Amino acid sequence: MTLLEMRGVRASYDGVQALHGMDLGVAEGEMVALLGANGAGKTTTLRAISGTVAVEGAVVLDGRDITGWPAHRVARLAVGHVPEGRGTFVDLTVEENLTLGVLARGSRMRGQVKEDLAAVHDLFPILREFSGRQAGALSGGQQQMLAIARAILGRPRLLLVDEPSLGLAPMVTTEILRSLRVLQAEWQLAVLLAEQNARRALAVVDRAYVLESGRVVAAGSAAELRENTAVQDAYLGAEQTGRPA
Amino acid sequence: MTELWQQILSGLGSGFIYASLALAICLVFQGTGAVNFAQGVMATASAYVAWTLVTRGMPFWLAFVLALVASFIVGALIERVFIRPVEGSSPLVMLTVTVALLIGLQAVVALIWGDDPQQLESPFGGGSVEVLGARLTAQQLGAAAVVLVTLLLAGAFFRFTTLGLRMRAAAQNPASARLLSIDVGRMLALGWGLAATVGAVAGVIFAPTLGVSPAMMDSSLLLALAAATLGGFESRVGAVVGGLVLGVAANLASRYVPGIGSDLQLVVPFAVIFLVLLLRPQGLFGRASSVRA
Repeated sequence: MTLLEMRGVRASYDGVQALHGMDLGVAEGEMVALLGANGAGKTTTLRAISGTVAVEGAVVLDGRDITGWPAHRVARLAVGHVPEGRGTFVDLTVEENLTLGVLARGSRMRGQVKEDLAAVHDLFPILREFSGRQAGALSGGQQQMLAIARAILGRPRLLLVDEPSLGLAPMVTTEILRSLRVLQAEWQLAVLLAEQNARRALAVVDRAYVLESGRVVAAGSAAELRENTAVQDAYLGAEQTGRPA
Repeated sequence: MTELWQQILSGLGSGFIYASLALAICLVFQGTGAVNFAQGVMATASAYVAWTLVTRGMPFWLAFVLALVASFIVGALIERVFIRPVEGSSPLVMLTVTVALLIGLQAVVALIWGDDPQQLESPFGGGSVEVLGARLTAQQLGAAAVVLVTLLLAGAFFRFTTLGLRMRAAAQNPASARLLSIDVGRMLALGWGLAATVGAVAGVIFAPTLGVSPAMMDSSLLLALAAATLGGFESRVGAVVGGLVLGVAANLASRYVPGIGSDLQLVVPFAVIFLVLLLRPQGLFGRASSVRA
């Protein structure tokens, strides 16, 4: 069943158009990647969904047209967003950051907070260990884990994740992408993952869209895209030749 | 020695006025990035509201509570009407708006209540108490206690309640707070309301000492700005500590530094602002990274 649908979505910053008619869909419980180079429109696509950029066109969540809704109202519809730069509340403790996640969930899941917190701590033990520490003191990878933990504690049905690998060592990236996959399966989430590193993303997702200049230029299952020569040349070759992706 | 102790205690007494105004200023700054120059005159208006109610025959404490409620509502309204349209603007725009608020509100206060100073009876009576050899009036002691309780309550609110946590989150990282379904606009209005209430506590409870007049909070505002600078605009604890330190410093300077009488007391905040900006611009409790550009 389709959870999210975007039809002909356009968005711009200060008069410069970043999305030129995006069409995509995410089904319930599915993990989908948005691939593409810098400036292809990955971040803007996520922001168009969570209501943090003004858009034209149609963004439909679970049959409801949410185009133009303010971000805090979209969030109440169980949309979690792990933003670019991780959105850490640096002066708050790790625990307080997680509490904010819990507070974001609707009343229907309130009874399950303890179990969920325990599950998050099991997945990211470092967050339990550093519970009382200021979040700003965490490393980049730890802040990324915190951002994901905070977002999923809101019990979203759709989780938007923006470039979790940015600035992280390859091993940490692998660990984070793997935990996203675990969460997607165990928490029945749909995940929309924006990622420059196509090879790593395609290793974990079900499907992917390839973006270029604010529109979709290729789409398919992870296996299909891995075999697609055009995609290989443009995005998967990057790592081998050492060219910046 | 007793003399010095006496001066320190009465300095602390006025320090509580500066501490509450500084806390109010700091709450507004954390939320909206505006230094609210109107914080003093807002407290003045609260004092006038209480004075009006008391002269109509209402018991002091009921008038006190009603003035606080009114201040909360007006504070939140001011945010909605005057600050919301310029939210996220440059510091210069914010500065202009709050200075305009200061001038406008001062005019409104004078228009409603006139320029003549009024007297509000102390709710603590006219007695005095001896504290370790120093003599304090019941008013001094009672007012300090009320403000102290207010400051502790405000601290507990931010530290222990989920609403307080949401407000801190909205102030610190509004973009990220919105993604966690926090209505940032509402939090900012709440912050202004809360700031107005904290200022109102000081305005009303110290009105018997300061006298109720349109200018009653003018020098306190200056000292509160110095206190916030000293403690760091980003630190609530810093603002309160800064207020108390300045209260004592101003009092001691006027007593012991030759040439600085009570008329020249205001030299002290100027000197403090100047020195802090020169030596530690983020304030004693602020972090260098949190200084706004």
